[in-house]
Amino acid sequence: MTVAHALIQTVLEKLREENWPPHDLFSVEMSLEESLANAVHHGNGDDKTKQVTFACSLTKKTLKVQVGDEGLGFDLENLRDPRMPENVNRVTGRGVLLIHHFMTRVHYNDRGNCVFMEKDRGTSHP
Amino acid sequence: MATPRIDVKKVGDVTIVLCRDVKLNDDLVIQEWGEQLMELLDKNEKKLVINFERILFMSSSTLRVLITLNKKAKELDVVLLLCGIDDNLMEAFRITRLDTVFQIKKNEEEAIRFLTMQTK
Repeated sequence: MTVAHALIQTVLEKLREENWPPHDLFSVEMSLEESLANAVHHGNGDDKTKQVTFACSLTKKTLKVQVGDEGLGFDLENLRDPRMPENVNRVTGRGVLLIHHFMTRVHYNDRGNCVFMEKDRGTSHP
Repeated sequence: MATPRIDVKKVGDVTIVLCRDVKLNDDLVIQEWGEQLMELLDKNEKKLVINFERILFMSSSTLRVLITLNKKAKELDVVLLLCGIDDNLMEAFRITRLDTVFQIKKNEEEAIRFLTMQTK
């Protein structure tokens, strides 16, 4: 298991302890998986000398997660929409869409190399 | 040597692939899984069903492999169906509109029935 996956499992275990609903667990797992993968592959360019930062906090109602990388950032406005017919067969580009769908709130720092995600408990609709 | 990631069986002229892993989110696991699926296309299998009933989670890297597989299947005139995708994962397929790219059936029986009717 990678460090990232161990981290994700630690977060999920905490949510399970607090009896978060199964679909919320799936939503969080998907979002953490995609955000960490994006930080490693796209943000840091798979450079093992670069770091990914991770921080999270949990209250009764909300999980907050912050994932950052050492990259130059990206512009959300210029990201291809993978749902468009001309993009739907492209092999990459779905991670950000999935994060925005499965988390309650998502925003980025100005540079675009840090994502802030929030999940409100019980807001997933399978 | 790669770890076997799939189990393969034949039902008539339909090749059914059952994925062994519960999660497809590790890069090496996904790579091995993808390579083993591609090998089936290289073996001239013309009707291929990938059964996801054991899989509870997959990352977008898995979708990447599936898209590549789907493209190659089309080039080789192979009919590729997916089945047994659980509701959570179907949500990811729907959100990304990949449910319009792949032929997805509820379960193995439905997939086999569809492919069998195609022959008639």
